[in-house]
Amino acid sequence: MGSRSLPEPRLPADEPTDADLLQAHIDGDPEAFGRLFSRHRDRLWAVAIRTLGDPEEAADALQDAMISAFRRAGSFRGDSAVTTWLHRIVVNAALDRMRRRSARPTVGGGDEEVLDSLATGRSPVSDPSGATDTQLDVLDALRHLVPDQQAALVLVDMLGYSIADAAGVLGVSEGTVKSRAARGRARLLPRLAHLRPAGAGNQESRNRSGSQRVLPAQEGGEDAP
Amino acid sequence: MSRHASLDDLASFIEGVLKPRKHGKIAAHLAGCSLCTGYVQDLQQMPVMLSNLAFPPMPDELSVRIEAAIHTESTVRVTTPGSVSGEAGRRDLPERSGPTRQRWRMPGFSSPLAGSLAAVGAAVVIAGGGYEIASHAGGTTTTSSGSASPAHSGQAPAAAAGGQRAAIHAQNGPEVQFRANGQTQTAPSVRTSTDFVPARLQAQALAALAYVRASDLKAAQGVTNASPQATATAGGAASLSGCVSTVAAGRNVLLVDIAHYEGKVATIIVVGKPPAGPGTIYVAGAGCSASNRHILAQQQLPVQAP
Repeated sequence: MGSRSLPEPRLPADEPTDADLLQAHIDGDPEAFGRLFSRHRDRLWAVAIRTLGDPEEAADALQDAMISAFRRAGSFRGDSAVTTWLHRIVVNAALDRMRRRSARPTVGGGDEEVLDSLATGRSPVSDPSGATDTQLDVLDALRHLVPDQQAALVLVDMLGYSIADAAGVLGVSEGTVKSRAARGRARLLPRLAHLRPAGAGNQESRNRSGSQRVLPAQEGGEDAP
Repeated sequence: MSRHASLDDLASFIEGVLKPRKHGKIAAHLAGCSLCTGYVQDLQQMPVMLSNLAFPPMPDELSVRIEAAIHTESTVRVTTPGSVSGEAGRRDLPERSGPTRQRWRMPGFSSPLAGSLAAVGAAVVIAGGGYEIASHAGGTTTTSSGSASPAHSGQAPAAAAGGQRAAIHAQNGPEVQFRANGQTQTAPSVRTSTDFVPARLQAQALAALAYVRASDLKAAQGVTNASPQATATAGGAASLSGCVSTVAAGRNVLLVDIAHYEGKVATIIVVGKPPAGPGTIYVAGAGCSASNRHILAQQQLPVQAP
């Protein structure tokens, strides 16, 4: 799997670094934080939308996170990269929303539309048919992960961050990131068993015996080591 | 044959996070079990599948909304005594971003914001660096800080007083007429004390656009109480309309800001397709009229992340 490091945009020589911008913001420069945001917004959005799925919730989470970062800039200790710090705030804002969401009963109806719009990037009104079954299945399966596992999969699998960077963002050890990602994949697989490429090995028998054997284990214990 | 491994164990095996003894057992089992080997392959494929999922890109609308929220924070930060860089002064602020928070909608849904922009075809926009905002709308003056000192041409009071932060005031300029979609439309103009500079032109224009959306200032169509100063520097409303019409060339006008560019009087005009389409910033010099665009600078919007 790819392990791209936490992206630091290549800057022209005369461009201030992220740390410069954050310091300028703390010192009162009114535009510094906005520049910091526009520098990283696409990546931060990528984290929020993949974690939450719902574009409106992702938007709210990202906005909450940026305001929070704006206000808490003075408490940034410089023990991690500014990018890592920003990612962490976005992940936490998104996880907060996920936990709140899982605490309330699922609202029926409308899901298909949300998923449609999610997968196609277009509004369900303008494009009712764009999403592929695969995407819908995967997105649906992702919603069954516990938040910590999903966050690990978002950073490591979906966005290709290195284990070390993901650990920095999540504030846990590399081993914990690996464990969470592994459990997340293990939970996803049975839900996606039907998506295996046709003709892959002994697919038939694996489908049948596999899901019977494996599914109970999926619902089992969560947070071990 | 030994017992099959659980998916959890297989996935953990791949990541190398199992204790050595268990790792060895699973390795031995895999050597003779094609079923579990198949699952290992599936698990190894999963990152590929996940990385290939398509998600919508960040909508321009959201970017604008967040930039507006950030600038609103800047405003609050400066106008809250003792809160410039300390945490203490901000602690009592609401956790949410307050009245400027707008519910974002997917493009295609009707949004109050998109509606007001699209319907009017233009927007009154306030503020560049984003501190203290004063706007005249229909003759009523409001300011975010409660002081209502009127703006004067090219004057930034706090900067003049030696403050690091220029208080930027803005008020309505004369109504501008321009041709778009085959008909004559009117748009209000605004005067800010922003001194636009080349290096920050996009950021300053974005800030201005962000403000109009954040404040949800209805473009006050038909506002006629242009201040005398407003008409003075730009050669009068007629000349301004001619300038804007020529520059816009049939496109929608989003922003007409009679301000400064590198210290000289200039009109900053943003045209484009509201709310999410691409736009262009034009900086028109004092000589801009219907027959002479006098463009000093031009840049595209939106700004892509570097």
